[in-house]
Amino acid sequence: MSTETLIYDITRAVYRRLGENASPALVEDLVTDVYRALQPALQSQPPSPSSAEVAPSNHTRAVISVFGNDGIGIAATILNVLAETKCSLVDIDQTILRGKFAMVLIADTTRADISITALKERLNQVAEKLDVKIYVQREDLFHAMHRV
Amino acid sequence: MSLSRREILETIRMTEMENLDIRTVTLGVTLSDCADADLGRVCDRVQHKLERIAARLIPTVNEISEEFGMPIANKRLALTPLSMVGAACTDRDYVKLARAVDDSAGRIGVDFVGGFSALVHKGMTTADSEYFDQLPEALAVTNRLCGSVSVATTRSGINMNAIARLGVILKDLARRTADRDGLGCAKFVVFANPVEDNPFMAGAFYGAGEAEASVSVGISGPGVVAHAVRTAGDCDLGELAEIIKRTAFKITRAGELIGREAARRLGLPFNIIDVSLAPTPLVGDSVGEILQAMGLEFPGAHGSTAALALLTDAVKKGGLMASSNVGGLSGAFIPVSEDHVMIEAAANGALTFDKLEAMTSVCSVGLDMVAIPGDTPAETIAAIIADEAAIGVMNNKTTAIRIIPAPGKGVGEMVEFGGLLGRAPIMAVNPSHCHAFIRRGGRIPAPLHGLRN
Repeated sequence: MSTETLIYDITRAVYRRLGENASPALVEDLVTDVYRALQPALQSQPPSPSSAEVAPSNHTRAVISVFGNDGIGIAATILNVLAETKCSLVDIDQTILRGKFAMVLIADTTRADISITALKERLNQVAEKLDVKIYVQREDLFHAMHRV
Repeated sequence: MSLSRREILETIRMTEMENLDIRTVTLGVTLSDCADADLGRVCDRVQHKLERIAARLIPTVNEISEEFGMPIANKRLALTPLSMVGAACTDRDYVKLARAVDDSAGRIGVDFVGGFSALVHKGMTTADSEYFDQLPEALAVTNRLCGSVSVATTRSGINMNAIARLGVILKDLARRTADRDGLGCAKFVVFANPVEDNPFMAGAFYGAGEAEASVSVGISGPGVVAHAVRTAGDCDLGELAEIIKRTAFKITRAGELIGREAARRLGLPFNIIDVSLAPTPLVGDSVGEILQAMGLEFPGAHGSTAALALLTDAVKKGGLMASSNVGGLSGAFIPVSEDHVMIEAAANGALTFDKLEAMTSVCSVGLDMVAIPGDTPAETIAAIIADEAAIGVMNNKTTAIRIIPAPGKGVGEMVEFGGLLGRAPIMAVNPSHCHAFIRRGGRIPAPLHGLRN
């Protein structure tokens, strides 16, 4: 499991216990404490081959890139598709570039009930309604091209 | 994020805007075990073997293309040279064998199948001679089948008897496909120093030293390199070579990943990745555009040979750094009809036949998709082949000739093939006679550096 996935899972567990109204500062403190407590144990393990920084990631992760005119609820709609299909979010980066909406997500489909190809079809359906362009590509392609 | 936004955008830009694609996934299949004295039985065995091994090729490649978001333009087969497969038959009906392979290719759904080939660089067997006799008909009556002949190698010299016959054969093939501007000739390549693992058409065949079956990929991307050169701005040529190398490295890595995945899913060994800047007639998918971005008004301008030498070498080096499986032809292709800038340069006179020949001494293949007048004598065509073979033999490189004597057409007119094969202006050839030279026949001996034992 990559560091990002672990932190994401801890954050979700904390929110589940404390409820939606928990203060972000408290959640952040708790997540940091738990992660620090786990860290020595994690470091004593052999490095995981799926660790995103060191080796090509496994083939179940997809890079989802979204570009288009800015509008209301683009991120929410896309995240909703990921939740419905049981894809877990590994990383997210969103910005407005010269007035255009740009978002890159990395999703893990290990526990998902659909393939990357099927997820692509689902996202293409919402892309039309949102008036954005969505690209879904296996993450290992990017690692092959940009990491030695 | 483990990947930067810039890196992700760069990959998407390459596939969406710069026409980066896997040009071909080519499945190589050995057919030597299909030999028999009875031709009917050979055809049955060949069809059975191809349709068994390639059964999942098309759906598998389509799936992979979707998952990686990388277009895969063609799926192809490369076969053991068919002149050998049919050699043991009492009735060597190569046209029937060609039809059988073509039918199978249609049922499998591949775009092309290569291997209607013979290796005659030193001499010809009786079977090879019968293959030569039937070559024009076989390629005229089939759709997907492509052929090639090896006429020269650095170690064996140049077989001028075979070349003299090919001059006549090419004219015959053009005549048989005259209604399509001599399209048959676009499916046939003459080689010096051919490689046995080339996945590109029309020259793909599967060499005798290869495994039972394996998967190779050809990756293209002249648009990506053109963009990188334009973005580099006013740098010197050493820096430009570095930039091209880095770009070739990235596209090679993408190609290898996809090739290995295809091989894994098909349960076959991965063979080679051929990194070749192979243009298509689309704007933004042109090797000519790269030469223009480097600072030449048109390909054919003085400086074109030097620019192309830098380009071919940098692509090979970037590829070699990225993968230990780089093979095939790897470099830059300069077909005329398949590149809109080359077409324009040939039409406006910037690119002449002679300059094109000079450029082939440093490109990765040779005189490719060149249309010449239909009334060019067979001896002149043979002499063009001999010149190109000499460039390959003396420089220890592969050279190829894919030339179309367009029936009924002359200089200034165009031939139209459509699709990936594009269109070409008829180029003038030297009208001086070379008949007496070609009629001598025989073998031009191997050069000194062929004896490297």
